[in-house]
Amino acid sequence: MLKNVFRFLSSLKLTVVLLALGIAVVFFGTLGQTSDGLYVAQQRYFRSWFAYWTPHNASFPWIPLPGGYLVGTLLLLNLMVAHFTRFKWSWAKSGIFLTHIGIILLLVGQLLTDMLARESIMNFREGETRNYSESSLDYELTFLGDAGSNSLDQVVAVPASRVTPGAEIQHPLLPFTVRVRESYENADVRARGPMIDSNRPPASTQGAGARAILEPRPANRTMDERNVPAAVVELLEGGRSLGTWAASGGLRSQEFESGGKSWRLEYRPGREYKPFALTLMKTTHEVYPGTDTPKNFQSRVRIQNLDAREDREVDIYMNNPLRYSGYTFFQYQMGREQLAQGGRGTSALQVVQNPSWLAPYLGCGIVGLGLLVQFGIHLGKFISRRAA
Amino acid sequence: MRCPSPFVPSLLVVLSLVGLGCRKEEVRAYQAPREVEAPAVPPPSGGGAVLGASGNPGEGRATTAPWTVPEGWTEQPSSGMRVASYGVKAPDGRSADVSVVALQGGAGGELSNVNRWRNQIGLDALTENQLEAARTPVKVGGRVVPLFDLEGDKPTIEGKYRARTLAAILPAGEMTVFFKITGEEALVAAEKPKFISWLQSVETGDGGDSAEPEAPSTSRPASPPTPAPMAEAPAAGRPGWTVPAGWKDGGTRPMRLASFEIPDASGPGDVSVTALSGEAGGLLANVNRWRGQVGLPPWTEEALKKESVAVQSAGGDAGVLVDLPGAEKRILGAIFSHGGQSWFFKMTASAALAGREKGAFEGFVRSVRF
Repeated sequence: MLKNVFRFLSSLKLTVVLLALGIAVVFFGTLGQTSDGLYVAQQRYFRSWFAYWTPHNASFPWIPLPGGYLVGTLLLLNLMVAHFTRFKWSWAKSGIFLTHIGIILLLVGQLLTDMLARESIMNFREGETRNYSESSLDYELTFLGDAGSNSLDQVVAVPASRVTPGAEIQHPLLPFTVRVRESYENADVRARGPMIDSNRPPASTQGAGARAILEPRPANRTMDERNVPAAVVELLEGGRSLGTWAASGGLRSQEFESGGKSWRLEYRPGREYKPFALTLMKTTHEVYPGTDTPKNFQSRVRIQNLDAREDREVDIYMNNPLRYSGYTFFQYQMGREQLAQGGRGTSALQVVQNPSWLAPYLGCGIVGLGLLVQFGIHLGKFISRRAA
Repeated sequence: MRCPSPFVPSLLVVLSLVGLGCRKEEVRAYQAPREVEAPAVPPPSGGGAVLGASGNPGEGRATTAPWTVPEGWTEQPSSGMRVASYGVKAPDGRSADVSVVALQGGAGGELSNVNRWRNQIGLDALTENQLEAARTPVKVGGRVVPLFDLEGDKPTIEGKYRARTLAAILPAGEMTVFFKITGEEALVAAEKPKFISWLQSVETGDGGDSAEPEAPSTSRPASPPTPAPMAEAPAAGRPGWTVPAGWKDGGTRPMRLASFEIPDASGPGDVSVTALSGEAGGLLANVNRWRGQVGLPPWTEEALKKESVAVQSAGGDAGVLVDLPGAEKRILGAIFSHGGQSWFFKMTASAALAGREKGAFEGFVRSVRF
């Protein structure tokens, strides 16, 4: 029985089938991006065990597919089992050996990247300092209270995936229970206007929502716009309701009292704090003469790292990212605030943290070297035979 | 099978790696440096994300706008203080932005708002005296409100185009609504007729007006007639008064402390009592708001002094009484300042009914004890 399993897992036919399925997943995943957008398609086709493809706007025949995780895991198993069961080391096969190691490294590296890599955005105006970056996709329902220090906040952040209607959220650091009344993946928040909203109650009984309306919007799947989630939550202190609050990425911090302390409620992009700070010193936005075509986006930033006693300025521009402390800062976007707000330049840096970023480079290098060695060995043998 | 044993650890390694990747998002708790709240950084150009914006403008909107959208205006997503937004585009790329913004109270007053708009298009600020000349009466729904036509004299748009702003200010209950179009001068000039007809199409509701945001409801369930005259004890946060004979309790309505209905064959009269903090925009602004509701032009400070009548409540507070006879409706109003709040007593009725009930209204106002 076990022998049959090993035979199946190590078979070349399985490799071919898995590679064909991999091509199918990539093909339908690419098609799926047209309706789902990049991020949803990534989750649906590549970061899943099973997937199905449905033609756009159709509810009939969908095509079941293995997800990217399943294809990748089986390929890795197939390769490793084949390697251990079939492969016998010899110098003549050293190229194949290297190639296998390279492919295993590629597959494992991709899995590690999927698990460990984090992408976020650092947004600031000229003169502003940031010691955190923000997720461009994921929001957190955040409660901020006094941490017993004038300069520190105690933060309790609830990921948006947990903010679902009916959910009750408790945390030892929160003196209240959060009961989610309404939750929207994408919603606008706007003032509750006379006339137009006469028959609509305000979004909440407390806070800014008491004078606002939440307008649910269809979830956005395109790359150039983002969803702004919103929720209506009821806060309960010892079973007693303190009222309801509307939380939205479009609302500023809202204060309330609970447990004898002052708290603030925000629904904001998930934050990742760094052990250092960047200050945006200057932005440079050059265009080709006579056009609006960008020639150069450049941010001059000051790095301050008290632990490392480091204080220096660097330039970040296209194709010249800053690699610092395990993070890579790419120049992402650039703009200018309105004159009425000061007219300062603004910059957005894409912050990438990927501990396994070397794996694909190493994997490809080793595969290339293995192929070179293997072909070299064959070439050597061929030349030797001809010479003989 | 030469070497099966390494297979098992390989399988375990693969599965544990995959298992690590399938973790659930957890609530995070941490301490972070407190930051002074700053306005959100505007989205940079180049395909940036726009907070509050989304695709499919207007889709999913649960309400119908109480106006007719002119042809060529495209609905845009609204957020923040905007109740509604529209975009206007010329074929050559010039654009204008139409907005409806609702703000609490007087929103800083007419002068400060006009000067803010002037500043946005590079014009110098006006004084209070100059403001009068800048007003043009315009009809919003059935009400006359001031329209400001501000034409920039410098190329403030992309350094190439002059800007122009048309804005109408409509007091609506405890809020003020601003209707505005701003953009390239020639485009806004071309859109002006559409803007004016759009304003005229606004359904303000008969009383989307005074200190109450909702129009008087005639379909409200009938309440039992109030025995009159009847002295009411002050309820929590509410003054005491004597309700005149024939006035019926109008039930509760948003923002109102009390409502009364005066039945009449010509249509019921509506009496409201509202309190707002502070000066709520000031006496003149509120009286002019009422004047606009019955189609009368605004008063100057001098006209207000001349035409209004002083009134004293039973508690000894001094107030101002005004009688504003419009073509169709007539408003009798009294405004008191007490305890850091402005108190508005207002009757809206047909001219004939208001005339008959004027004595009762004045008696009601004089019976008030804060």
